[in-house]
Amino acid sequence: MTAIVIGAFIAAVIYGIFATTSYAGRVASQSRFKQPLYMDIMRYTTPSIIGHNFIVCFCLVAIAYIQYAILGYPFSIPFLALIWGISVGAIGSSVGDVHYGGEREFQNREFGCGLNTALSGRIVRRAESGLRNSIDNVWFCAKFGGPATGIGLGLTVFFSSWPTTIWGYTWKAMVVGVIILAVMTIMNRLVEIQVKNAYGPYKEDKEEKEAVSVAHTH
Amino acid sequence: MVFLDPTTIIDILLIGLSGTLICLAVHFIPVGGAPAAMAQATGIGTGTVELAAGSGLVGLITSSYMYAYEPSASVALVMAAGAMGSAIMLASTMLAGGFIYAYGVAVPFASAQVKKDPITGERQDIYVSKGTQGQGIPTICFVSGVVGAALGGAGGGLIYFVLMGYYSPLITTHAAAVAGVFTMGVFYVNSVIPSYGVGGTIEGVHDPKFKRVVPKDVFTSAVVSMLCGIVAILIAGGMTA
Repeated sequence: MTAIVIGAFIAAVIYGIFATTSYAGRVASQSRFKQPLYMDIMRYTTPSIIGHNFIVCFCLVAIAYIQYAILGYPFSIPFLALIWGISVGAIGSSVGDVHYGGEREFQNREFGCGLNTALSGRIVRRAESGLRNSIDNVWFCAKFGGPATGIGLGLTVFFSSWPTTIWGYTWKAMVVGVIILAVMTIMNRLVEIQVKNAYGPYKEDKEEKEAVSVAHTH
Repeated sequence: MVFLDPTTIIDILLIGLSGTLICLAVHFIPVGGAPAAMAQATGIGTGTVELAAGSGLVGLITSSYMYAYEPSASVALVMAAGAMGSAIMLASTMLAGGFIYAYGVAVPFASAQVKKDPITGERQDIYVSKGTQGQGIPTICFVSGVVGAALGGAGGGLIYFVLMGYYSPLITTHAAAVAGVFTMGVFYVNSVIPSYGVGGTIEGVHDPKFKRVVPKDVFTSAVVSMLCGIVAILIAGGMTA
């Protein structure tokens, strides 16, 4: 158990270096957009990123340890931790990263719409109220994207082993898995209905559809 | 010659078949790449390889556990366990990703490839915002992704089952490790092939691209996977307990 803590600590320190250099490097390399480099990010957001990394490393290795030593999985701890690491990378890239991709720090994106291809690279610095800068975006990503990734991984870890733990290694457990999948599909559908009603159809786009389709077929 | 043994040839063919299954599965998964991460295209905002390998490897964990605890488990049950683990991983990812698209990025889910969702029958084109190729994960993409991940997990379970059957008599205790690492390798090989085929983004079964690229990719994958199968048999040559 001590080894897991020490390992996770070393990983968190290395991740802290990555988080610092990536933030400073991003602002410095895009200096033509004149986004300032805030010490507040270094002081308040980077430590929370490092903290998240410590929790992730600790939990992943702990899961691998439990699966190997207590549940008796056939793979060794490093291999299990590698698989869960790749898995959390995939989830983090597709869940936590999404808001960062759709971020409004450099992108001129209207609320409630996707990023217009024609507006890609058109840089904005003023938000609806005040400056549009890295404090809000990075803060939001670190404190909302990280936990959302955790929800994705938690659902995966829990529901991928729960049916076989309760119903044994039978077809019944597989049926329960299918039911879980059906419930998740319905939940996604409910979210879809809600956001479609919230942001509404872009009716005014219908007239301009010809122009857009012409632009895409050139 | 060891290659002329009928069971060996069947093993190689089965590995080829399961590799092809994984390759086919990747086409079902709605990957949008970087454009999807910017809410500029429909699908999950990450790369094909990352997503296919991530979901398939969770399937590998569940199928290997099934194999370890039920030595008498049929090949169908091991494949089903892999399919379940893999599909649950992808469904969780799409659900959590959908929450971010809905409440973080604030975009309605819409597909730009079809006018109406084939499952819900809802209009899609009027929800696609200006200058984008759709956003988020609509129901058809979600269902297609779940089916794809299940196919991929089943393919991974089949490779693991075949390799365990081949390696277990040779190296009893370490067979799981070798079979696991080899299955992981086959996963990576077969998720790179489709990512070239689809060119980074695909929405799922309803995408016109699906019909266009699947035959080519499946043929390539069958050849490459059978090569993997031959290598898997070759490395068993020096194995001693």
